[in-house]
Amino acid sequence: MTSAAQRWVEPWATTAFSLLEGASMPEELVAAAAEQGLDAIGVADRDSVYGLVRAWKAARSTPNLAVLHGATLTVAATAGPPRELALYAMDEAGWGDLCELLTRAHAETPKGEGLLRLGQLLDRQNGLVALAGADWARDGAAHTPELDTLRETFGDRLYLCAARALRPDADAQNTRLLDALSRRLGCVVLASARPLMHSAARKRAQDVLTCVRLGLTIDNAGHHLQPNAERHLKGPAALGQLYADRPDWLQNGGAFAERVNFRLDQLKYHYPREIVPEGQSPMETLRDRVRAGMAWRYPEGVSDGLVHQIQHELALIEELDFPAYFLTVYDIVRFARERGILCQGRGSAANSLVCYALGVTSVDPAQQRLLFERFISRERAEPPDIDVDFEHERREEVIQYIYGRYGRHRAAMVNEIISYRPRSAVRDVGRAMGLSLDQVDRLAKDQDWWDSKGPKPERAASCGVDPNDPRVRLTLEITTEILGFPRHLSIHVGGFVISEEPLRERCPIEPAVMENRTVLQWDKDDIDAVNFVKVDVLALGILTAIRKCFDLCREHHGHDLDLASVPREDPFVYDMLCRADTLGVFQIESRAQQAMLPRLKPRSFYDLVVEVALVRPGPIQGGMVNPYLERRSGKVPIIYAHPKLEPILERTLGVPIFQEQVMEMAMAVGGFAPGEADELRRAMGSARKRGGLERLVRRLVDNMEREGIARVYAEQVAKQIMGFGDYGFPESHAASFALLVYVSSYLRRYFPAAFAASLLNAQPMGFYPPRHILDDLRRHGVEVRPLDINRSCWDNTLEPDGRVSPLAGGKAGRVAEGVALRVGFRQVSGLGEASGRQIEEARRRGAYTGVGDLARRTGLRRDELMLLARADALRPFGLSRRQAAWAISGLYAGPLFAGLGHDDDDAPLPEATAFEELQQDWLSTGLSLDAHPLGLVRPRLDEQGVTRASDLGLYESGDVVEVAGVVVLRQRPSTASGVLFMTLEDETGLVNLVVWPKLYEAERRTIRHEPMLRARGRLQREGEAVSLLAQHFEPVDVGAVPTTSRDFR
Amino acid sequence: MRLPCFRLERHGWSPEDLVMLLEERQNKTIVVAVTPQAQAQGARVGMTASEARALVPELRGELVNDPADEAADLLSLAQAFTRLSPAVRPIGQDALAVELTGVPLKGGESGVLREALRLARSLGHVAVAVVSDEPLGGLALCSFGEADRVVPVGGLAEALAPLPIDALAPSPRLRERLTLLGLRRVGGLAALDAASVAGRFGEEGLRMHTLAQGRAPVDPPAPPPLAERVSARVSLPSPVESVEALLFALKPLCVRLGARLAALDLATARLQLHLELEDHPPLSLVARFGQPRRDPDDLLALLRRRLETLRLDAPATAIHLDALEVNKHTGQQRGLLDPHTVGGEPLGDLLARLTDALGEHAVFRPALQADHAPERAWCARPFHDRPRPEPPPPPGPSRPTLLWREPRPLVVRRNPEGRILSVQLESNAVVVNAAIGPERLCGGWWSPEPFDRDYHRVELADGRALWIFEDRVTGEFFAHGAWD
Repeated sequence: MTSAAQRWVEPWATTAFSLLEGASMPEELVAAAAEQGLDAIGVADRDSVYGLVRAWKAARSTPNLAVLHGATLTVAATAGPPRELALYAMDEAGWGDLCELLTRAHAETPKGEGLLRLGQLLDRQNGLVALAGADWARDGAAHTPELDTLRETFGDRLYLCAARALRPDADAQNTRLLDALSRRLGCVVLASARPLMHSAARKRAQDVLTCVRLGLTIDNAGHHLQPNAERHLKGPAALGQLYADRPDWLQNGGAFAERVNFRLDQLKYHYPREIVPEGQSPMETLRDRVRAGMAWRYPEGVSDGLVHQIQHELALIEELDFPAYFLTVYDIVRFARERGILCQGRGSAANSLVCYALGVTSVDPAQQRLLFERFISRERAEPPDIDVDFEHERREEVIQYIYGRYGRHRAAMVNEIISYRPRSAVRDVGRAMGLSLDQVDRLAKDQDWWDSKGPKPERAASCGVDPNDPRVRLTLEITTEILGFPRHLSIHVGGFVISEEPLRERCPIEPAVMENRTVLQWDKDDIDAVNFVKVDVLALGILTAIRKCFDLCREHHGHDLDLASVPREDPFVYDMLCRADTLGVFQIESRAQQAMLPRLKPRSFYDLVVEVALVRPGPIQGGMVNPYLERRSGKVPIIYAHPKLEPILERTLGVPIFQEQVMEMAMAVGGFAPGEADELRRAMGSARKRGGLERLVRRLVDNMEREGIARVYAEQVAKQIMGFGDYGFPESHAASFALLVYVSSYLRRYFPAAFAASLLNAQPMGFYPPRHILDDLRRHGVEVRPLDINRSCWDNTLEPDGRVSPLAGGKAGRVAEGVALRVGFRQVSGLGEASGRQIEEARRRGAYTGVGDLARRTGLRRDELMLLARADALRPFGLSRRQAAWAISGLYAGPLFAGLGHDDDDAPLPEATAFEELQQDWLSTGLSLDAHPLGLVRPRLDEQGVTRASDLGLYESGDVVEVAGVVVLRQRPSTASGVLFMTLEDETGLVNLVVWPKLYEAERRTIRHEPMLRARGRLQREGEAVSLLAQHFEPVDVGAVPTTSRDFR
Repeated sequence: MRLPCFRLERHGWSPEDLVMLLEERQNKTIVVAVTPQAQAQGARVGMTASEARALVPELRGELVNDPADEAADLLSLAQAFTRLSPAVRPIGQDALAVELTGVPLKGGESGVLREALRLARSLGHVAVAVVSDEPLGGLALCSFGEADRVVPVGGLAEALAPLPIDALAPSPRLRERLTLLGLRRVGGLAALDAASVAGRFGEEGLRMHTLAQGRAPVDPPAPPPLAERVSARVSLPSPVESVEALLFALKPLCVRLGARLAALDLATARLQLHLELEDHPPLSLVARFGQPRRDPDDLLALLRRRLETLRLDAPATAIHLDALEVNKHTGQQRGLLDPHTVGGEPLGDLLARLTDALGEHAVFRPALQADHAPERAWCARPFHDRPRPEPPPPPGPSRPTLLWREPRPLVVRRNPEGRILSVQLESNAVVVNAAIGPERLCGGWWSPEPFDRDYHRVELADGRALWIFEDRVTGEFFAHGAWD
């Protein structure tokens, strides 16, 4: 019997963050525990605290339930398999102990595993309580050397834990053991169900996850599977029944839970303060740096307004004690600049004049009227978030600098939890369910990249898999069940946490798979939740491309440019953008952006800020695009729903486009306090994950109506805010990006060859593959020269084309000409950089004279030489691809024939057809300078009345036309209500198509899988932008030309 | 001669059926043969089964699980063609080489060609054939070129020249290298210098080059070893009913079979006797040796033992004797003091005899199997399967000494708290003195036999101890075993 004051505790639960073992998410366990009336639940995942922040956050909404913070450590035993020991933090010091022990446990083990020797935990356990199961007793209760050690070390903080699961023999034996141990060691025993899942219904998923973890199929997993579904969370009634004979064990749970007092709210964190010269305070140092920075940024002098602004910012930074943080970021950026690594801050930091003065951001906030409070506010009292982009090829240098500066015990990158998506889930579950590899493969590949709701049974048949087969049906059901479960761990794209105190005592740190990286056990959201300060050291491909382009401009055109010196507001650049001639330009090269440009007709930098932010799910779903364009074109007058909105919305013609505007509106006419407005911003930024946005929005709408704003308008604003929940840009972020948009546009406009070469040399990045970049370049009149063993370098390079001086042009509307682009060895598929550089290096001693000379001087392997032959790089030797391959294979003739001295260079090899040459071009470099597959079948297509891309301009809107091309892009934005955007490419250019969902479903296999398509559709014209509303698709057969499309969500 | 549908025809499929033959390769199910009808609808050799079914949903798949039998069938078929020439041998999985050198040709080579095709069709096979200087070249023409023709002497190279290079069956690696050189046709390879080819592409390249030039390769690849089907058949002059008469007829068959095995240096562990009965369906029975034998007396003695208890429903008209489980003859002699004997008889022979008498289901070696379902926690393994050394299983939960093959329905009376008071297994209810449980077991949710049970050990007033369970889905009780 249990007393009336019984506190019901489940002391040892495992979540899905015990990867591929637990079968319920932390939130599910916490919710179930609260629902079933438990008073406390101990969350102790295997060798980690990966899921603990989620459990802690979930418990905020269940005030009567305590989540005990712990982890299950795998401890090596002197004999037998390792044992499990659950450790819980009693207080903050205990949390430090736990994190330190977990860090030790991972220090020398393979990724994803932890193992601790008993001796390693003895010096860090004062703040911990420990739970050991009956399995610690070796050969009965008498001989338990490890337990004896634990008892000596932990004293009464060592508990024993019973784990009954309706297995009478084992349960009875464990009861006897625990009784004996308890008597001998004087330890208290706790009752537990050791849940792996919140409900017995998850048994199937738990079985399958076990199979995935062990690499087994469900048919041969045997005793690795749980014998029943009893390892689920149990409420008071079930626990009472299970331990009816041991009410004392149940009773003990209450006292145990009371000892485990640490919660993550108590976690203290401080930013490092060492970036300060001796004898100065961080604030003094920051003031010095800002003063120097303002002089650098504003050489003509600083206006009163700027002085006022900078003083305001510095005062707030001092008040909130953030100067050390700014100095740290400044230090990182300074390092990058000194090394010549291009970088630029993005995000809300662009609101800050201090950041601009420190060189962290590049957009002058004073000119953009940005909102500093969006970056830091007194009400929020939370650390600012500075994201800095670095050249993607050189970011590693910055990362290693940070590790070196602060030490690996104080700096670590943020974790990224990779969760099951439809494809990965169906693959793992299908394999575990014993489906054949080809079935699994086809099911997985059939999962649309945008589909997050799991596989659809009705599609299985089209994959050649019988949906009525029970195994297939179960596979699809369980796949849906585990969607969103963590699968494995990775590293966040750039999030870094640095701390004053040893970070490994705040959150466990693990070595990453990537060499020289260490990561925290928490992801970005967890870090935010516990108020750690994060610096995002991000990699951005366009920065690499821009820096490389600056180098080429300097070398070939004599123009010395940098981000700050690129001439601003050049009308010729805007002319180009209005024509949507933006292939390769940062952010505005996508289909949707290209369609918007001729409508928006950008003529200033701020137009680019709007352009970047407008083509986003937020404004699109909020229906803000057309109102903005109509007002801009003068078709609709600019009116404001309330006089208070005018100053807020003036710059976007009365239409809210940016997150900051929504915040300001909420404060001006929605009755929101600044703190509430910020809550709204946060909800907008994370609505997909957390929800809660709708409640705030409803309140905003009601308040706006009370302020006299029309319900229709308020609802429209509400719709947009909900849209921001999917994705919306803050103005400061858009402004940072717009700068890179402008700079890349400028480079493309004036230095097309250098820009294209730089894009190619910074791949992979952007929307378009190299072939399209080069085709576009040729369409702009620049000569592209083929691979040449005696001229090409590893990178794509520029060389004089002999027509005009490369030093002319580059300004006042005149394009810098006089150069041709020479394709580099980096375009040869399969050829490594070291080999490419080796060719360059050995060539310094003179041009290669033949295949033998090349092989001898470079030491390249036969397969590498063959790659060059296949890429047609050996043409300068007077050899066709085939002749070169023949000659190379002759170099390696077998020993039996090697001495015959037979001269066989003139073998009668068949000459390649145009089609075969094209095939090899695409196979080896993915591009052809001579032909296009559609060109080869053009006569046939002409007979069939298929129109060229270049001829679409001859048709009127509404005409039905047929086009054909290689599929280069399939994009289905989540905002497009299921509409798929496709781009086909023929030998004359690109054709954009719009595919409605009904057509997609009807012709899915053709649209989804065929590499070349013929499409019939109705022509749509919007200014200079032309697209086709597709009506029907058919495959085009031109032979086996290898093509790849880029498919985006 | 190539029999493109042979691998399907031997399963009884006709070219009009929508069928594909499948093979498991690296956990993928690959199509290795399709009927012409399936091919017409898009199924192709080399596809995965799922790909083929995606194109032809009603396509039926047949898994290759008897490669040895398949090879033996082709060998048997080859014997039917010995009427054209004494030298007939299989090539690959679906072709025969009929050597015509030195054979009197009725109707010339064209006549033989027609006769071969007629014979194949009369046996129910789709066939194409070519008469050529060299069998592999002929096979290439049958597979990739113009078939059912006679290639003039010395004209093979010319006939092969337009064929794709795949006709010479290059390895994937060599195929890729040849493709890179643009050598997509046989003629292109033939045009090259032999020494250049040999130096670059080694023996395989040289062999292909020789064949491309219409000559027999110097060192043809060794044909894959075929599992032989050794059999003998006799039609009885008059129907026989008595076992003695059957044995009389079997004796010469055993001699012939033994001689054939000896000629091939083989021995058999299993004989299959097939009796054709007058106006009745045929009768098949199998007899086993403890270890492979080929001595005719041993063969006959085995059959005698097997036939001792046989009663024929109708007189036998023909006997067919097949040697199954054919292995290389080891010539091992039995030791005088062999410990593995029972009453002087080798243990293997005794078990084989027991198996013949009682059936395979009754003579086996029980083995543990990791499964939570009690009835599947063990399995029967054939005696000749040598158990792999395994660590002893960890001590498991207690189980009854007698597990019944089928759980028996049971009526259980319980008190309101759920305690079991009595059970009624057959007629009378028996009071339960003690019950231990439940032990909950569930699983098999992925199989046709899912289970979710609560087991109890009940000790009855009459002294018995039963292992009973409640099916948690239906609420019914069953007895599943008992303790002695």
